[in-house]
Parts: sequence; C-alpha cells; structure tokens
Amino acid sequence: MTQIDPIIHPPKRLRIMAALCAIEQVSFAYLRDRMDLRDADLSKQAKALAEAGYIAVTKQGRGPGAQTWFAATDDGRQAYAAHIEALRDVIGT
Amino acid sequence: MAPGDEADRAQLAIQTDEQAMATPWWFAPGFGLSLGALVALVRDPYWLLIPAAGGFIAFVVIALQVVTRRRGVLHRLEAMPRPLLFWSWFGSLVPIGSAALAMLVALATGQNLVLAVLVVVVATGGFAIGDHRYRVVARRLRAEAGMTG
Repeated sequence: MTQIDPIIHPPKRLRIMAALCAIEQVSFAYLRDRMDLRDADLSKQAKALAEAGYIAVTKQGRGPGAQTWFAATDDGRQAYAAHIEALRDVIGT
Repeated sequence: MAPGDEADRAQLAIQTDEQAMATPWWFAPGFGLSLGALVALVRDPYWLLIPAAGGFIAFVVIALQVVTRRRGVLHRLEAMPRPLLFWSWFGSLVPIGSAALAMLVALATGQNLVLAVLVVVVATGGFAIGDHRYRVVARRLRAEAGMTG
C-alpha cells in the first residue's frame, strides 16, 4: 500500500498539484486567481512543493511584465499519483 | 466527495477553463496565411522555401508564446481528456496536412497560387472549427461534471 504524502496532503497543495499534473505549466497569476489564494499563501505553498522537488519554478520576461510559472516535475507527478492512490486505498474506492 | 474525485475535478476545471482555452482572433487567419505563403512559394527558385519555412516556424513559436502568456496555462496533451485531444489534433493536423498535400500537388502541377488560396481557406477554417469544437466539448464536459461558470 502506498503512503499518504505529508507534503502534498494539505488541501491547498493537493489542489495545486492536481492542477499542475493536468497541464505542462501555469502562471502564478492564473493559479492564484483560480485557487482563490493570496500571493503570500501561494508563494508559501509553492516554496514547500519546490523544496520537495515536486514542482519547478521559472521566471519569464523582465521588469513589470515578468511572469512566474510553475510546472510539475517527474518526481512531483509520481508523488501525486501515489498520493491519490493512497487516498483511494484509505477510503476504499 | 472523495479526495481523489475532488482532485480529478480540479484537473478537469483547469483543462476546460474559458481563460485557459482562449485563442486570439488573429491566430487562425495568421496560421492559415503563413501556410498559404509556404504553398505559394513552391516554384522556382525553390531555395526561397528555406527562409519561408524558417519564417513559418518563427511565427508559430512566437504566436504560441503570446497565446500561452495570455492564457496563463500551457496545456499537456498526455493528460487531456480524449474528446478534447481529438479536436486539439484536428485543429493542428487539418491545416498542416492540407498544406503538405497542396505542396505536393503544386510540385506536380505548378498551380501554386490557386492551391495557396485554397490552403489559406482550409487551414484557417480547419483551425477555427477545431478551436470552436474544443470549446463546445469542454463546456459539455464541465456541465457533465456539474461545474458552473
């Protein structure tokens, strides 16, 4: 049986990982608006996921038009899939 | 709702979000015109096709970057639901396939200008139809999943 991943388990991080695993990459602004998070909160959650090696953070452009983008890493995708499997095992679906 | 199901819904939400699939009005005609230009150049001197192909690739790369920045999302084909994947491929392969076929016919017949006009129409229309059907299917998937807005 796979284990619940404590890094992904908090609801905000789970939603972030779910979104990132469905796409190639997403901008900070898009994710903040769609997840209804504050800048500081999204930065904090993203930092925790990036430190675990689950997401990659890149900056595109310079000056006021610069954008921060997030993408799930291969490790992140594997960890997310294992976490979802563990959740389904727990609730027996 | 089970956590796994909620995660599946979060994935579908971003794959079918209106902003994440918004395409600027100029993309379809720009794509069609650039492919038509390639077909128009299938004539002597053929070396002109080399810089034209470079220009076409540059247009596609820059346009995709602009579209991605506006959307805030770069989609992942491997994770896309099958109906969305079908229309996504349709919008790409119909224009490129029609241009490839027209280039072969132009080589054989020399009717490059007539074929170029035909490719502009088919490529622009093919992309626009694929894009439109993608949105229709995305809205249907959202509705089936009980998502509003």
